[in-house]
Amino acid sequence: MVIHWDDLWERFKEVMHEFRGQTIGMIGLGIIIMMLLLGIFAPFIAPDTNGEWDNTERWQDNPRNAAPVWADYLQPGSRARHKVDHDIVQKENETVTGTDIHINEYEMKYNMDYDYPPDDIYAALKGDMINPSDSRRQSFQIDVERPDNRTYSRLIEAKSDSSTSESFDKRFYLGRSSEVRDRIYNWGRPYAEGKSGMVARNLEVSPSIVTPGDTVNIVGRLKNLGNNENTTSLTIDGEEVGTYTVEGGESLTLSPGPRYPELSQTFEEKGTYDIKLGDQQWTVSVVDEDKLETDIEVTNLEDNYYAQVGDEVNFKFTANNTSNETIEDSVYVSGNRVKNFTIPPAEMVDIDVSFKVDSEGTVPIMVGDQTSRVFVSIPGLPTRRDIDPVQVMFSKANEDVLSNDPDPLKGEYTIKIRTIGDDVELDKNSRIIFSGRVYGLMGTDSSGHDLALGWVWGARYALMIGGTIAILTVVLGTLYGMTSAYFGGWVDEVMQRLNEIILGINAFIIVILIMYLWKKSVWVFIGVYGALQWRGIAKIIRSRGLQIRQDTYIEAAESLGSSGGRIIRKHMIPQILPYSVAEAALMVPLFVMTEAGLSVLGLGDPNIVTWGTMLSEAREHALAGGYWWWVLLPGLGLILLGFSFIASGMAIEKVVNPKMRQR
Amino acid sequence: MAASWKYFGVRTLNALIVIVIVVFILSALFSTLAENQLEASISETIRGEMQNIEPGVNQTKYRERRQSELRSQYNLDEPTYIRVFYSAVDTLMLDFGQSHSITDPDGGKEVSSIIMSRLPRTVLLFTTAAVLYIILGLIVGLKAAQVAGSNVDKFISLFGMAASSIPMWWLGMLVIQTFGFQLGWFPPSAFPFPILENVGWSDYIVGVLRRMAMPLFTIVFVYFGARAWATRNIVTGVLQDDYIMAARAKGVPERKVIYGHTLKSAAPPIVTSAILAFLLSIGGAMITEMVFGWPGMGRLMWQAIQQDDVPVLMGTAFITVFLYVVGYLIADLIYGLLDPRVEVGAERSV
Repeated sequence: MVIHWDDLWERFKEVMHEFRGQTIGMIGLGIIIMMLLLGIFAPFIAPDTNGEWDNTERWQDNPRNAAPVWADYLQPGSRARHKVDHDIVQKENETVTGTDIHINEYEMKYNMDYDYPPDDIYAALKGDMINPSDSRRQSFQIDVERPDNRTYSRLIEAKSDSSTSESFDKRFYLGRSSEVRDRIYNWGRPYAEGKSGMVARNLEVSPSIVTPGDTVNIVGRLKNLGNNENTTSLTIDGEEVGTYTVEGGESLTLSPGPRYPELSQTFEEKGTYDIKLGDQQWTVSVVDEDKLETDIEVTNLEDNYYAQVGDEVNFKFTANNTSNETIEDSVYVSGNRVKNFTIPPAEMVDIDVSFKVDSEGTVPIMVGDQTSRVFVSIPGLPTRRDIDPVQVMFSKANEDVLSNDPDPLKGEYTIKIRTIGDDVELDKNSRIIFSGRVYGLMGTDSSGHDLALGWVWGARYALMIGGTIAILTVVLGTLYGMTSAYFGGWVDEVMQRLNEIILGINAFIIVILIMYLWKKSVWVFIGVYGALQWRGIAKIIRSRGLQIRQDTYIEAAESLGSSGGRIIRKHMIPQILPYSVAEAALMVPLFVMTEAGLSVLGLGDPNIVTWGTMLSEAREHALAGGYWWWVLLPGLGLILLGFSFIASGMAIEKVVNPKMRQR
Repeated sequence: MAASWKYFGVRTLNALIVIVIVVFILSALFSTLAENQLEASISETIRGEMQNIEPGVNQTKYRERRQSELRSQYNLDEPTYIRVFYSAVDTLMLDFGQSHSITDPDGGKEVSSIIMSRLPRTVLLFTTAAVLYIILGLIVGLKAAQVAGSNVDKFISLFGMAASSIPMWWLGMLVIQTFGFQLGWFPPSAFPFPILENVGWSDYIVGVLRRMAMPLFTIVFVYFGARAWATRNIVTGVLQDDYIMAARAKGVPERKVIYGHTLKSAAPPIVTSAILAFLLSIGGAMITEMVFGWPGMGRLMWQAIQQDDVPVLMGTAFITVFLYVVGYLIADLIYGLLDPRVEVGAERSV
């Protein structure tokens, strides 16, 4: 069909001339043009997004659930920006003398200048082994040095499995590792408990029940929480057997050996001995030979019990008398009898024990030949599960350190990475990521997707979907309506009845069923809506067409012998097309919203990224967590697009139908 | 009068034809596309039965017998067009069959009784909302038309425009996030819905109202702006008619012009669209129900999709289409009564 383009162009100029006077319409058109540009250039503005949405590798360096950067200015305090740092500096490369073990040390500085520190620290270490040994053994250690000289040593201690590969690719998530969580919790606990100065931990004496002349080994750990040097002693029944000096902020591990001979003790006399290191205490019982050889088998005793100061500790165990005699024995807690029990020969008895703890620390329990211990904490202290390990790492060492809102410790941190084993070389791709609490223009979701990138593709698909359906609608609706109006009579009658039938079809239900039963594809949606939604426009165009047909110039053209097709093309199309365009523009929001809605229902096209894709994921994961940006921003895309099309459509309508104008 | 009877007849016949055609389209969709699914569910059923088969029964024979029984139960042994016909007739007779997994409150699997247990809840929510936004929209729209061109009018128009571009379920998500989770004023999901027999009247009413608050607010907020805007546009359109200008020129007081002359000719479209909104509200809004966990028709349809429960999907689809067609029919008939000059048919989203 030949279309008279110059007539159309004249009409277009005419409409545009008046359209310029419509402020809201112009704003709408401006938004549409901006979105169009964004959409057209999406592959350049947001590369590797569409088609990579489900590829977790693509998003692994991004923070999770980070708010947009601008949100930082809406609330008090500053939140850590995201930082991906490749600047890992090699500090040392040495071989342990007399062995082929190489130690490589690397470090990276990080300046923490925020009130809310990073969410996570993620080290991706890649590299090759130089002259690998047969076993290809390799272990990694990560330490963090704080500005206040308190170091987290061995936060990560990982051995790589021996493999045939000559390269390695290791990933360590400090914030997600339970090992790191434990270490940081144990580090922070004494501060949170309000302790200061020297603190003893993990005192353990084994074996705890011996016969005269036996040797026991004492291990433990001292930590100096203060800033200055401090000294603590080890006593046995009040008598000092060793003194230990620790620098401020440092710790010292005590274990028997040439350096600390006093940690191996031999007891000649029967009795009980109190061994104390700082405020930690352990009791050793020295008993007769026959008492040691107990015939009681203890089962069901846990290794560790947990309690808080002031709690009644209850536990239960089973004791089995394997001898032919009645045995009397006791349960010892810190060397004190808390329960006596008697077991008839060859019988098994369940024994309940209950005692009260009134000071924090580790309390040893001894029954028969079994030992166990109770970890007593101060009530109100957060548990391991409550803490955010990386936040604790970047916080001041005070009573709030384990709380939800610790004081940030600003300054320069050093991340130290040590590899032990074969000599290695880190490659350029190795990096440490300080996961931001805010990220980008639109933040991220719980999979680390950069929502701004998804948004750009959302705009592209929204325009593509809305635009394609709108064009189909205009073309089909105009053709149908005008044909009906032009021919009139029985043709009109039949076409109108048919149109009414099509109007009765609920397009949404049909598209749901087709997508559910056949294929979740955006083209199915476009096809079904394109094939159905012209019906309303056809009706409006028909009635406009009837009006125009009565206009005298058409009659004149007819009487001059113009053909039907020519009249439609030359006179009716330029008059009517603006109406169709206005009506179609008004329907675009419905198309785009419906597509998004289908995604939320789980019927979205899995191969593309639309605002609906993001909102569908948000419905499942964002609501309870309060990740408002994840819900708000894709939705604002829908509203912006909807508003701009409605505003433009209304403006065109006003231009071509003066009755719509305000008085 | 004769002409309008003819119009009524034609229009009603038309609606019936639409329903029959749509049901045939639905049946064709299901019969051809759901075939694989049915085959799969039959072999699944048989596999389940084989697990509990009594020893001594010939397994192959049992399998074959059950297969042919089930295939004929679902009409799979018939040619496609026959199956389409059967299922369309069943649907038109409101016989949707048995559900696969979804049940009604008593544990029954009759699709029509499942639908009947859900429909009242949809009506409760959406019809209450429709009454509220129709009244609010009318008041605000008339006010805006009265002061057309003023800042108030511009604000209302802008609000109407913006509100029509808000996806209702999206606003629902924001409302749930804010009032359900952050502030904790209302239960974030309407599910589980209180059961009258278990909690007694007073707790039941309180429980339902607490669950209704957020979706009701959302629906009214989104729709009333659009309704006010539409009312305003109809009324301002009429205000430009020559006879209104003449009335004004004659010196008829402005109040009388608006409430007398203008409303008389603006009433048919306003009343019709209000009635249409009211009737279509019974169909509910599937995504909104699903987002709020409101256990009505829309959520039932979503559940059916999630659980691959084809008979329930078919039943809910039919009811929705039926309500949609009947809604338009009644609206058109009323419009024809009010204003015999014009025929009508407005588009509306679900």
